[in-house]
Amino acid sequence: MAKSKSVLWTIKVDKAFDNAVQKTLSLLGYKSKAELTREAIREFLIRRKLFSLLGGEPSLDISPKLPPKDALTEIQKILSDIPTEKIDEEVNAAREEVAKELLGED
Amino acid sequence: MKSRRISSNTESRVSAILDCNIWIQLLLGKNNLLQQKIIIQKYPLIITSYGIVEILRVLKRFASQWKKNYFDLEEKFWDILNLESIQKEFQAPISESLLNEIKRAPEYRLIAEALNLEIKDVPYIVTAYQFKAILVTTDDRTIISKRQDLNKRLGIIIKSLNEFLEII
Repeated sequence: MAKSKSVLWTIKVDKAFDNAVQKTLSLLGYKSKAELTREAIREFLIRRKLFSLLGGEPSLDISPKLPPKDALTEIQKILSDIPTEKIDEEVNAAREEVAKELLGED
Repeated sequence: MKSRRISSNTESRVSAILDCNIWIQLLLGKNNLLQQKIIIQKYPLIITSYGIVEILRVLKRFASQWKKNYFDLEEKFWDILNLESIQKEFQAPISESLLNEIKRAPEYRLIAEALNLEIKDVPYIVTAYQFKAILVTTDDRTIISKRQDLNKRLGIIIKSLNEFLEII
C-alpha cells in the first residue's frame, strides 16, 4: 500500500489569535486556515532564505507554463464575468489595503 | 530643480510604468489598443515588487468575490510577466522584496508629505524617477493634477492612458 504524501498538523492557538486569523481569511480571500497557514510558513522560509528546503527560489524561478499572449487570453476568459462597474472599486480597495499594510498609510 | 531629459539607453522607446488600474484593464481585456501595444508590439515596461503586490491583491479580491481560483490567476499573471519587454525590478524573491519595500516606508511617507501625494503613489513616482520612465496612470485626482510640478521639480513625465497610447 502506497504511503500518503501528506501529514496532518494540529496546532493549538489562543482565541485572540484564532480570531485574527479568521478575519485575515475573509480579508485576503483564503478558503481555509490550512491554506493560509501553508502559505504563511512558506513565506516565512523564503524570507529567511531557506529556499533550498522548498526546492529553490520560487518567485525568481518564474517558470512559464503558457506563452504570455496565451496566458493573457486565459486570464481574460477567467475574469470575463467581473462586472465592469465593480472593477475600479476593487482596484481602489486593493491599493488602499496594500498601502496600509506595507507603507503604513493611515 | 533641474529638469531631466527622458531617454533610454539603447531602445528608441522610453520604458513605461503602468499603474495598477491599467494593468487590470490589460488583464481584463478592457482596452484593445493597450493590449496591442503591450502584448503584440511589446512596448517596454518596468514593474516593481510593489506594483506586483497591488495587482495580485486585486486578483485575490476578484477570486474571493467571484469564486475564481486565485492560484490559477496568479500563475497566469506570472506567465504574462515573462514577456521579454517587461523588466521586473526585483532581485530577490517577492517576499524579500516586500520586506525592502516596508523598510522604505518612512522615506515613502516623507516623499508623500513633501510632494503632497498619496503614499500609495510614491512607489510609482520613485520608480519613474529611478529609471527615467514614463509613468502612465489613470489617477487624475492626485498624480495627473500634479504632473506639471513633478516634471518641473523631478523631471518625471506622467501621462494619462489615452495620452500614452497616442504617443507610442
